[in-house]
Amino acid sequence: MSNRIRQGFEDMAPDIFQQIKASPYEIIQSEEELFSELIPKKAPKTKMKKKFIYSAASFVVAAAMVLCLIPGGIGHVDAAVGEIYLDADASIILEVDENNQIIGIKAGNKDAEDIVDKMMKDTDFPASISDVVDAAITGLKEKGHDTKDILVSYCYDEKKVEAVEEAVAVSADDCTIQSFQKNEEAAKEAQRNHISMALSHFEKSAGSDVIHTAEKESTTDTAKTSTNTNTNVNATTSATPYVSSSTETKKKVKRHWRTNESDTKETSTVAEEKTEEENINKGNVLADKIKERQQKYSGSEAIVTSRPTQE
Amino acid sequence: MADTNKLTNLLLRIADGDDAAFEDLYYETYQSVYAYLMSLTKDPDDAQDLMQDTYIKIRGACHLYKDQGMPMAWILKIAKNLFLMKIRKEGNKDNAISELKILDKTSFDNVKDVDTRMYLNQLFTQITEEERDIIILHVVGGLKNREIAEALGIPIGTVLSKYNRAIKKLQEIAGKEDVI
Repeated sequence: MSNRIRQGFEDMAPDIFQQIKASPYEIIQSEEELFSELIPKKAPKTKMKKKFIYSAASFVVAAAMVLCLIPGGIGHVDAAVGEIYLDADASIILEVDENNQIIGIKAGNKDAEDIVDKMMKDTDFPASISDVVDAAITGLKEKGHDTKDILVSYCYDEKKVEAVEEAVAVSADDCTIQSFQKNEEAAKEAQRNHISMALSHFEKSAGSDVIHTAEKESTTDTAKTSTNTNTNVNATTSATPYVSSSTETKKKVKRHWRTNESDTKETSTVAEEKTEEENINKGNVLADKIKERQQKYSGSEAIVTSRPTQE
Repeated sequence: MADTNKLTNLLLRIADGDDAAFEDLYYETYQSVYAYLMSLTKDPDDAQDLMQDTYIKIRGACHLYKDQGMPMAWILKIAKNLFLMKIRKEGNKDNAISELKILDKTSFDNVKDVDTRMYLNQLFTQITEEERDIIILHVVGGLKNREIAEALGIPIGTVLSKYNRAIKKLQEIAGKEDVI
């Protein structure tokens, strides 16, 4: 495709060098002259009478007070109805509002602070989910994380929004993806373990004994997990992760986890063909990885919140 | 796609009055400049006029070039400035008029290959203006992400995310036949 686009413009571009050569030219004196349209011009100073300033200020204060009293006014803009977690070693949390827009970005741990700082500078809130998820993945990749090692989770309050889940699936299709409903118990457990709620959920549902594969889940509308037993534990789970009511979304949501040791990519279809033994090994590696993160972040500072300031 | 050091060297030589260097610079860069101006104007004639103006400006402004390793971004910045001047002079022409221009497929008559013509058509109709600029600067201009960010005046993170999204869209449209 790139070759065709390049070739297309090569065919289109006219050779007008002789015309240019014959044209007279003037010496440009300054950058301001050269980039006159791109360099922002200083706004001319305007003299405002004091009286006008006072009345304008009074009006603004009065209007702000009225807006605070109106439902849906400026006192109510902060309503996040869902969160998107991006977990590698660094943890990023994106807040989604009822219009399916990102309204806030949080660093879940110290590793993510610089990524979040940069994202805050580059993002105009409210922002589209795809843009922000892309930027977060880019930030994590710049930190050396492989996309396949990033766990992207959509956590919803009461009602799952298909559009959000689909936006996540499209923007992060190379990552491991899950969705789950927020609950207080899970939040407390995550806090206790010093990991994000998404990782906590992943651990709880996938755990050391159970590996979820997308293919198996995507064939049913109910919560199912493939259960594999290791030598000591018979593991079944009643957790309801990865459940999507939309078949189309489910198809898009590929979940795979690349282990540190084998560096192999587990896609949903391949995973189905894996032997029980391999699944047990993989589960153990995943459990080790989560434990490693728990140890790394135990005692780490509380979540750092970065949100656009409300004016 | 021109080499950065070579372009820098050519700009410095033009500043010293070297006409041969100006010719070399033109042939190294005119396809990228034209592609970028096509993306901005969506009109072959406007793109050609602005390309001429761009090189005339470059000739008279080479002494102002400060080597920051991004000569192509500097050239394209001049092109964009001229485009904005034109827009302002013409009284902020409605975008809709420009869109109509591009829907007239005769714009790509010079392109011999039918598939290539189709790809260009998709490039101009299926993705956003900014995404198109980024693709063109990357694919045709051979600019690096930071150079694209500089040329377009947007953060590098935005360049990366929009580039990825645009590629995905184009690949979906092209039926994932091949990869950029």
